[in-house]
Amino acid sequence: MTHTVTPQTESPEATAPHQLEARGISAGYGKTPVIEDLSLRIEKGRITALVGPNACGKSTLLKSIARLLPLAAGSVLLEGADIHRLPTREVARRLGVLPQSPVAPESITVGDLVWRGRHPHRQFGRRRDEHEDVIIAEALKATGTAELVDRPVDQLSGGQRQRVWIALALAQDTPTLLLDEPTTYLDVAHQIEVMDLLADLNEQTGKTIVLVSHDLNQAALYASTIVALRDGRIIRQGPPEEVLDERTVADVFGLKCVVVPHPYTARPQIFPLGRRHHPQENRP
Amino acid sequence: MTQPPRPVVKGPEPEHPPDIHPVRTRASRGTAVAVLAVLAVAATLVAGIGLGARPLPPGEVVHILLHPGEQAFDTHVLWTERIPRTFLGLAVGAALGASGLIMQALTANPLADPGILGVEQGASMFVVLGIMFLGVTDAGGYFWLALLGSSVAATLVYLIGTRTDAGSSAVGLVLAGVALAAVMSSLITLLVVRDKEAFAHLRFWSVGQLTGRAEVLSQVMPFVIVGLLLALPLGRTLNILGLGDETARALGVRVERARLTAAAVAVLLCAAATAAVGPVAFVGLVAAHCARLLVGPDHRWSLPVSMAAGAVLLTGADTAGRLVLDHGEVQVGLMTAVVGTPFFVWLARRRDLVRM
Amino acid sequence: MTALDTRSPRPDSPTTPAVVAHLRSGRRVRDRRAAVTAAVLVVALLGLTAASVLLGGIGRLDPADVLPAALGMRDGLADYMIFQLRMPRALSALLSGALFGLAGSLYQRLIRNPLATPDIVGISAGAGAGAATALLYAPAAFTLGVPVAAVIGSFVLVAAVQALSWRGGIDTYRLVLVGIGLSAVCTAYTNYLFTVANQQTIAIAMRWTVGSTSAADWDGVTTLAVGFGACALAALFIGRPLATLTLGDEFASGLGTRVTASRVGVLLLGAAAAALATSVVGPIGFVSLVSGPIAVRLVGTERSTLLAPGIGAVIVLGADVLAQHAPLVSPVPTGVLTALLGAPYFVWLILRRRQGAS
Repeated sequence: MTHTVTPQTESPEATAPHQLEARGISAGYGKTPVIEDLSLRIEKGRITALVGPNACGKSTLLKSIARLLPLAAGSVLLEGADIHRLPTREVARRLGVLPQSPVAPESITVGDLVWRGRHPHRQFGRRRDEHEDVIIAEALKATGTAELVDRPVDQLSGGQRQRVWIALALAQDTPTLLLDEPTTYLDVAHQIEVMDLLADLNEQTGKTIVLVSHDLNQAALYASTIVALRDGRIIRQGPPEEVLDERTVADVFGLKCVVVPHPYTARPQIFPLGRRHHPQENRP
Repeated sequence: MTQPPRPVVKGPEPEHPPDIHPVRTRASRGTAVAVLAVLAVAATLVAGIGLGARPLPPGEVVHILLHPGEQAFDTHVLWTERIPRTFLGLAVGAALGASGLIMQALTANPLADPGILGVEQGASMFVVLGIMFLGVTDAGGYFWLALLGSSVAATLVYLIGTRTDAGSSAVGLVLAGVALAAVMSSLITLLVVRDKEAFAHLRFWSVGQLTGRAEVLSQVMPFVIVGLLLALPLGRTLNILGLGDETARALGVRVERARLTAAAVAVLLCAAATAAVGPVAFVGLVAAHCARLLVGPDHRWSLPVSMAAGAVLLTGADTAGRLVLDHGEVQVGLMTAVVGTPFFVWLARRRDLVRM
Repeated sequence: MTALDTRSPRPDSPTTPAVVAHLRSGRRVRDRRAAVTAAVLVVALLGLTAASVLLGGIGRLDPADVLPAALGMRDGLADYMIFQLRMPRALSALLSGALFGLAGSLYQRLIRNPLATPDIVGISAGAGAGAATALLYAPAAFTLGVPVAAVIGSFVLVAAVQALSWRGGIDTYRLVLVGIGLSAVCTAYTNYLFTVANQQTIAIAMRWTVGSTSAADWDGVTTLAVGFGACALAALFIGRPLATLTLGDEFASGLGTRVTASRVGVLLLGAAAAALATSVVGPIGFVSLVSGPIAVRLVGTERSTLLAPGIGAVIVLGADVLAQHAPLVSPVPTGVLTALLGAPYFVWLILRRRQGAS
């Protein structure tokens, strides 16, 4: 079952080519495809969250549209052009990717690491110029890591480290940023810190952000579009208020829950119901 | 491995008391494998004696073996050359097989092997020291030096290897063994490099070979036999230690002493083997895995089977090394490296060995 | 709206020009430091080369003759010893050390593990096997045949190690283990060749089992010099893709690097460098292991590959001088000394990682 989905919110630039578009893509590891004949449009200037249970294909989808995985079928369009026909450096100037739990080379400093984000913009033999340092400085400032420039990355805390990786992706200076579970392995305060940062970037620079999230509540709080996947298929997609209800959570995760609006933002928040948490069964 | 999944005890009342031998080999299977092992050893014995530059039919080999006193030419050649050599191979192989299995069980490491972990190199190092500075010339003396050297090496490798963060303790031990072996062989080279005669001698000894060691047999045999006898009752201890130190302690085993005893036996066997033929890697590794493939992880069965497998392997490799060249022969240490490496690589590829 | 109000304020956030200035000054400091380190290395190399040539090792030379001979003012024995024995020896130690250092640094950065150097993952053993085969079975093609065979042997080993440790991805430790295994086979094969061949001499056996510079000649120096030039040039080109590969394949791909091509390029380049060095001086151990991390410590990861050849050169040349003159033990093959110095470092390396991790 395939969803060819039309945008469900009114987009001011509905006629412009979508930032990213997957058309009937199939991809996976080895011979068995994880996602099959899947189509998706990512809107410009928004935060899109891919959610779903483990092994539902959300990371595979992200990697496919980031051309980190070869496609078995279909095509991915970046601003209307086939991503696999574009030179890989050209893609890297338009599309930044932050893979899940990246590793820093031993004892590299924050400054040196972030500097590597400039790779797609550099030509062999050219020295770095003033402009590049400004971009790096901006990336460091935006992520609040300017004070850490001279520190080795392996001495940072998890939250600091994740901000440094995002700074690297920012130094790449791309209009679109894809992130694979940017908050895994972080404690909850750092998770919120990273999500706040992404929201700030989206708001201040109009960056298009696509992220894989394992946390429905965070996705609902920060994303403007939720894409819910199960078994390699898109089950529902749209704004959190429309998509996140008891039925979707049951369909996608097989989990009973109560959905309650967030007290300040009115975004839907999930309260899972285990076997012991039904109101009638809980009564003495 | 071939271990069948244990039924998980469900519900509040377990019907049986906990099984002290978590992995039991059925006696019928064990007996069948034991018979097979004896036959294999016998076949290897006959082949090892019969095959060579002057091949003899099996019937004649058996005849000569049963009539040691005859004055025929063949009999004389066999009793001074091939027969001691073959028995030496069987004894050393059995020692290495047992040593390898015990080391693997103690370190919970499928890559453990007296050669790979550098224990044999430690033994060699001390033997060379003894030859050069103490004037030791007989294999009995070699043995005591080798025992000292392999104890030192085993302790060092264990201390270093279990304190690394190299993926898993399996990898850590191997890396520590490689490093130690490199230091030891460099020291050996350093010691003998200006002594041309010793160097020429050592170059052959240091690859491990059975040639020209007939006189060694009687000197080393007692140590090997003692070691093997000490090893045989260890199966039960190893089974319990395999449950983890805490469980073993709860079952009333004095864990430290049990581990130390088992390690001492493994080191003794390794030392005897090295003193007799020089360092031979991979035999213990392959033998132990063959044994476990055949009879499962119950050490009461796999220990003797591993001895038999080691004996067959080493003697077989030696016999094959005699046959692959038209003239001359390939040292058994080289043969076992060629046979053992594919095995080692296959083990290294196992998914559960290294974290992804 | 997102909960912007709750985000923690960053009161002391520096201005962009301040950060830029800081970046610049930091870079200048590190550039200067790299330059100073390189200068020190050059001085050390000059000193060691002079020591090696002037002190010599083989035979005795009247000290009064050494300097004039080195300047080309003597004929006969002095001239012969300086130019045919000592100079080639010093230069081949220097150049092979540089090649080992380069190879090690490339592998350590690519595989992201300080243990994964060409000698540990079996590449050097493969090169040794190739070289020994050519040496014994095609001695006619001696000058070019041996290095070429060594490079071929190392490439075969690269392919074998990669193929055998591939299981839906490369795990570093699996790679190292498979390398150790294959290395054992290659060493067994090389040992076999030399025990079978009757022409074995101690010098040759030493060279091929532990590595030694004592049999150096000008042909070898030429091979090493050309090899080092080519490898260093290639390393300059591949440096930037390699810098992105150190962040992981996915990141590198995201940054616009052609991952497979760059990876194969680095693997083959490192193998070729190690093989060329091995073909002339044999498998001198632990140099490629030690050089890279020392370079990282001195000048940081970014510039380490540039410096590692210098470190390697200092180590081998220093070990070579020591091997000829150290009290009690000399003369010994160079490889014995590097192993004795390198193996304890190796142990420290695997121990230290635990402390870093916990």
